[in-house]
Amino acid sequence: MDHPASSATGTRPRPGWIVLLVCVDAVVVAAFLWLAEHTSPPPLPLLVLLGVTIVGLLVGPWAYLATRQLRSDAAAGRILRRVFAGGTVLAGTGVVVAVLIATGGTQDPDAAGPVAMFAILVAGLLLLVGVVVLPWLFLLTRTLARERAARVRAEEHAEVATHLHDSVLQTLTLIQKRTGDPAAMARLARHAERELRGWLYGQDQGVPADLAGALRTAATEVEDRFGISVELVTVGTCPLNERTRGVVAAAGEALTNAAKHAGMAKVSLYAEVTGDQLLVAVRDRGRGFDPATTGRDRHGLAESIMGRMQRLGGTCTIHAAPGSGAEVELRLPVGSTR
Amino acid sequence: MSRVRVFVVDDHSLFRSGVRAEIEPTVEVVGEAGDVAAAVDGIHALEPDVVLLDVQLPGGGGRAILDAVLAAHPGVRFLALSVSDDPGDVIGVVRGGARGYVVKAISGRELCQAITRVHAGDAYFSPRLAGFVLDAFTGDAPVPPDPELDGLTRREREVLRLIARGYTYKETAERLYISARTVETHVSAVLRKLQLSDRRELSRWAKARNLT
Repeated sequence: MDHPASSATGTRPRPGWIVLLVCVDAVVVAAFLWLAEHTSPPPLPLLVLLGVTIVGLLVGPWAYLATRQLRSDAAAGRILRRVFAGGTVLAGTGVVVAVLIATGGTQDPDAAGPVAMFAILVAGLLLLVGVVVLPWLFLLTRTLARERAARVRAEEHAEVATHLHDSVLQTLTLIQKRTGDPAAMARLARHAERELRGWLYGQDQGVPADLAGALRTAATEVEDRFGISVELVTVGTCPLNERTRGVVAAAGEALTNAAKHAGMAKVSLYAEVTGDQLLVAVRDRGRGFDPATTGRDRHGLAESIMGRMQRLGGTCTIHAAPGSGAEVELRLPVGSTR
Repeated sequence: MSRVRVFVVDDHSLFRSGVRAEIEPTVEVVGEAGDVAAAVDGIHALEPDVVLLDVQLPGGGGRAILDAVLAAHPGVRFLALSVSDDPGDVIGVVRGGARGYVVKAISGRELCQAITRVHAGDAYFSPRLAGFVLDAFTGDAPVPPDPELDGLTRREREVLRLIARGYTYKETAERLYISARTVETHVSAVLRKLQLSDRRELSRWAKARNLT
């Protein structure tokens, strides 16, 4: 970062200007030093006038450049106004004190000159810091913030583009190629939908962290494997542990059974975690079966679902009848595991 | 009996024509619109029985249409339709006056049932909406300020739970040994509570959901 006048907004002052001003300043300061060395000190009013002129010449051009640069910015304008007010008050006070000493106080009229000069110089220094250093810092931080925001935007855009390319665009291309195979098209579309949903609503990213996520993964697997759709509804969730993982596995088995045997395109999966128990229900409206005769000889139901739930300390209830669908209800007390 | 007059609002014309094709034999689609302004004008002019309303719409969302129409035409029933998984969106449009919510993947037959039910003045809860509502009213919320209004009764919870599990109203009634009419009464009561309940509690819930 260099000079404040050279950054950001549109109106760039010509460098020739600045060089000229610096030269004039240098000449005036040199002349003043020469005068102070080789002539007797002028009377106080002239001294004050000289001081004001020199400080004004030193600070003026910078102040002009800085205000022109920052005019459009409300916050910067406020800072500048305060600095100017402070400087003016300081310089004015110094002059007034000097005049009072010179006219009223007979004790030490010689002290008036230094006081006035000191006040004017401090005011000039304050103005110089105010109009050069502060705007410079201000512009620097603002530029950095803008650059960062632009970078974040660019990164976000790139991420969106990459994601859409990898998922939706690829799927659309595949679907165009395989228009003759409705089942494959449906599978592709479902897969893309799920991916997009997961990405938009922040679900299903990588390894599931809780019960709801694990059930969603299980439902997805069954959907992909059997080409059915699983309508998943969860109320509340809980962390995964050995027991809740077991329930997810049992639910997955129940889903697989429903997909294989029910002969329906849709299966409902419901999970609810209340204070002390976990309930998972897998329901289909398919051809159903008679639990009294079917339950024991089917390995999936007997072992993977009922046996597993018993070992976990939970229960498994089956509501089913031939011709009116089936529902497998898994319950697990979770009060102690939370 | 004359067919139910339906107005379809969705910003995807492909989806509008798809819905029209699926429900046309059963109900009469009198008009359709793709944005908020056109929908409000169309509904004012045609006064349909039921409006199928997409939750996310350019120009203010489904909520803007509900606000603009219901004041002038309280008799028009709204059924929200969406692909959204965001419970805040869904609950918002129901609280705005929609009498039901279904997902866009719904079959034509089920959609017709939902339209008929909403037209009759009942509420239609899809499993997903029932799940959202249970979540909203259960959670870990402390005792609500007005239990009469804000809490769900045990029976209402049971009904919602079965609907969330994929039971139809009729199956729910059979399972609970009550009449289908009673199930409808419970669901309508839940809808009313949802629309009147304390705003603070629900917004806090929505916030908590979005954070996870």
